[in-house]
Amino acid sequence: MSSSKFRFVVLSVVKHDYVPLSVAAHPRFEPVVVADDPDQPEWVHGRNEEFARRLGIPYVCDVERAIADFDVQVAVVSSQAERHCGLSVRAADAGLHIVQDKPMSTLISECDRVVEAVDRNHVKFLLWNRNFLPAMVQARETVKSGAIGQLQVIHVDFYFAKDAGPLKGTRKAGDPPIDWEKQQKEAHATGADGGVGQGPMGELQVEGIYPLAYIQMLTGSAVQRVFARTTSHFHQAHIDNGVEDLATVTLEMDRDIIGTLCIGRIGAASHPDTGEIKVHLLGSKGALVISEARPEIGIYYRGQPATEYRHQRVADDNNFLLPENLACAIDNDGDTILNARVGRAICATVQAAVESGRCGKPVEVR
Amino acid sequence: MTKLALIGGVEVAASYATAPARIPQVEFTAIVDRDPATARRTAGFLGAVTTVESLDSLLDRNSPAFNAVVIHGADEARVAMIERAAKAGKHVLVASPLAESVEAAERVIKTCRSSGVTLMVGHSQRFMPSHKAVKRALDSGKLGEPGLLRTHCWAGLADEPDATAIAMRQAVDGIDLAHWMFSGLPNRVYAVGRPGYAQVHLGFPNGGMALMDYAMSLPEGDGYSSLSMIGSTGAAYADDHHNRNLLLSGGIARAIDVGEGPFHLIAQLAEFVSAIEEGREPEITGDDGKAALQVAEAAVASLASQRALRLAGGSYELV
Repeated sequence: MSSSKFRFVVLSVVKHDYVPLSVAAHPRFEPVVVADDPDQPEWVHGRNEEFARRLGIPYVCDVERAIADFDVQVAVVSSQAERHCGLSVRAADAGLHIVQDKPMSTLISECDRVVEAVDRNHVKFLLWNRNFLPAMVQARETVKSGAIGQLQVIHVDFYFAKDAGPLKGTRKAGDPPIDWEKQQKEAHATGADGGVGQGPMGELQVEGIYPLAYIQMLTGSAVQRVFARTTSHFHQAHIDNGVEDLATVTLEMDRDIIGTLCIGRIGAASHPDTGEIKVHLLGSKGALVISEARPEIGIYYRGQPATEYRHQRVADDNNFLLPENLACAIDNDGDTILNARVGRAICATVQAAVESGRCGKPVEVR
Repeated sequence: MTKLALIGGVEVAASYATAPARIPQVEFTAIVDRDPATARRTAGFLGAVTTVESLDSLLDRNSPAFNAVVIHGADEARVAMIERAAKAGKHVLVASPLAESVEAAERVIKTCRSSGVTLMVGHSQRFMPSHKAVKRALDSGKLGEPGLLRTHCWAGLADEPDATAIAMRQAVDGIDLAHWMFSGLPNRVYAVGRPGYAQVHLGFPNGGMALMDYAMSLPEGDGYSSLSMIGSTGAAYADDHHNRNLLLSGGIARAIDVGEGPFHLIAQLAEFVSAIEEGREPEITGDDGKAALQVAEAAVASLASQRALRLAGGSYELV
């Protein structure tokens, strides 16, 4: 494997700084500049500047100038969700390989732009995901080994035990609806700001990519049709903004594979740790039940704060293996574990599920 | 004292063995099984005196020996058996499902009512200790409003049934569980399946939802089940995955199920007997059994049409 370094630009880092930090921690990647568009609000510039300061690299309020002046080969995008694809397209058009935070987009048309730009410019695209978590690697290897025969059914239960502002039903008469962007900005401190942006996003749009990426990785199949139920069950912000925080989806996939996705931001009180995330697989010769959190340890002590997780994941190499995967793809002109086309397919599945939840009927995935 | 005749159910006979010790007002006095050897073996477990090959024989020869029947198995003749027992004045506990159709269920309910006997449907999942604990947490308000019931129920059956058969048999008990948890009927039903497998997706009027899958295609051996109830302010998880211990006997370690034992059948029987003695409706009535079948039939219609159904005017119609 090559040892040459890829210089990368961080195109906005208002959300999950673990994405650019993980890339920066990999020996094949070197962060050299943070950049964003000048017309962004002050809070965006503030977060970008703070991140740049932390890494000891410049912050440039001009994306194209930063790309041109700093001799970069890779862009890492972690902006507000509605800007993800626009920035990725610009990076691709500048000949950069791309690591993009999730979700890919809430619009299929935006995903199509990225697919086209990535293809046209022959660059690599990696959508951030969790497919290299140890338990998911085990799941993949077990399925691949044939231990359960031909995969026929897959279920992913993906419940994040995180709060998202005040509980449902707590808004007092006369109070205005909760402002989505404001609430997401306030949630940045706890890392519960996956939906940061002007447009509200339900849990399918914010987190659906993770479980749907598992399903795609383990089955290799595309989702053809969905039936979904969606509701705002937990949080006032979701009700006020007309988006779901709980959803169940029946998935009908090609090669006669059936699946389900259950997803929700169920509140911090509803699980002792980050949440209940499990994968159930049925094959022609057996079945497999995977707890995504393993391996983990338990730590309990007197005076332990209620906000501290009792169980901690260990030996989690996902955030190293993702940039490693990109480096290999670039070196060998191969594909990443979650490329633009798969990202687009996941977005289409999410959109179909949102539509099905609204109309109460099965919906074909476009 | 409630004197019981057990009809069929050789597979659960051992589970009932401790019933007389745990439910003092109960005794098994007769066993009905087509196979005399099986009947005698079952009688031995339960301390029953009389063994016969059919309910008709039992009623003809020794009707005073029992005042209630517990019906397991007997799928084809189930409805006829319930009606025969009811008309003879015997109270009935019948394992899920109540009947093979809503229409048959209505007939059975009517017969039992007009005969003045207690009819209880054995949707035994309600009586599993883990499920009762989840329901208690829900009823106490700790979990808030029920939002999502997610269940998996996997087993291995020699004759791998098709999705329709699974919906009308195995899934009925789970559908009743969903009604119990959400206190009502779903207003949306969607189902998909494949050989040996079915999944039922329900929507409830308050925005609640249930997603239940049944696989009858596992290799012979252990099965698997799990239940999660996600409420607006809390959640409960009852999962076989969590309740396994390790056996290391060379090769790959095995995960062995601790299990919940026969508590569900004993508790269900205790409720049946109490309802008889107190002259009240049991916890799970014939109408509950019929409601579960109604949703199961909607699931079958969904499987066949590949469309969802909605509840309109008390019945389900294709959307």
